[in-house]
Amino acid sequence: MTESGFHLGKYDEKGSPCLTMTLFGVKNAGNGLECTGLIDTGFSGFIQLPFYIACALGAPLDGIKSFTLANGEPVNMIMALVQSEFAGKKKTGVASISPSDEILVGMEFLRIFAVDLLVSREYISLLDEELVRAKMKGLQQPPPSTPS
Amino acid sequence: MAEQQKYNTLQERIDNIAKEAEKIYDMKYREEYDEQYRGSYVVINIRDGEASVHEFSEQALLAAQKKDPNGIFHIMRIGPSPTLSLVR
Repeated sequence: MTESGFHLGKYDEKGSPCLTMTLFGVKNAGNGLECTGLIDTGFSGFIQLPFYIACALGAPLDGIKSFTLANGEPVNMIMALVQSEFAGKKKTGVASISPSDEILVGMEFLRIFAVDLLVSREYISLLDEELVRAKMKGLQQPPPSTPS
Repeated sequence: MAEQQKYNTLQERIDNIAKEAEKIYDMKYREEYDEQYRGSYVVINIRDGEASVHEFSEQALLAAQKKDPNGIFHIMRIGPSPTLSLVR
């Protein structure tokens, strides 16, 4: 759901925060493929795609991307530039192709789509950065005046 | 045949490409880039050893593709640990 800078994610059945986007590859450049990914704030990349999704998209392979896991272990994965549509915008980012079955959405996704993530007990919300910036400015208190 | 025995899994081949790219980076770019572009992303084209740098990974890759549409690329973050973080 998208309404004036406010985009709703959801919790999946395991209670993990998710968002739904449309991915585009060579095979489905027109309509795209609707996918739901787990929002992982510990993942600094754009999107991590399972191999079978990359195949379904026809994601053009570009080379290798190197990562370090939280435990310090280095990992190299195949990468592909993919287009993703979210919040009414279509953007390009570097996806990592993984042998796992999960789609991960990382911090680079939030940066590229210029959205801020708000997690509450009931809702996952993604807010346009501009909207948050304007609201925060309105909330800022003037500095307390010092007695003369 | 010897090649097949050396790299008998896809992951070994992937790791080998990454190692080659890191070797190129160490030899040609590390000294200068670690100083000048810390925190940015570098894409090394394994085919010709060319590097493309940008603050954002997708822009670095797009720049590298523009230089060589048929390139084989390796991307990493510049700095003491030239990598990205990933929790899985």
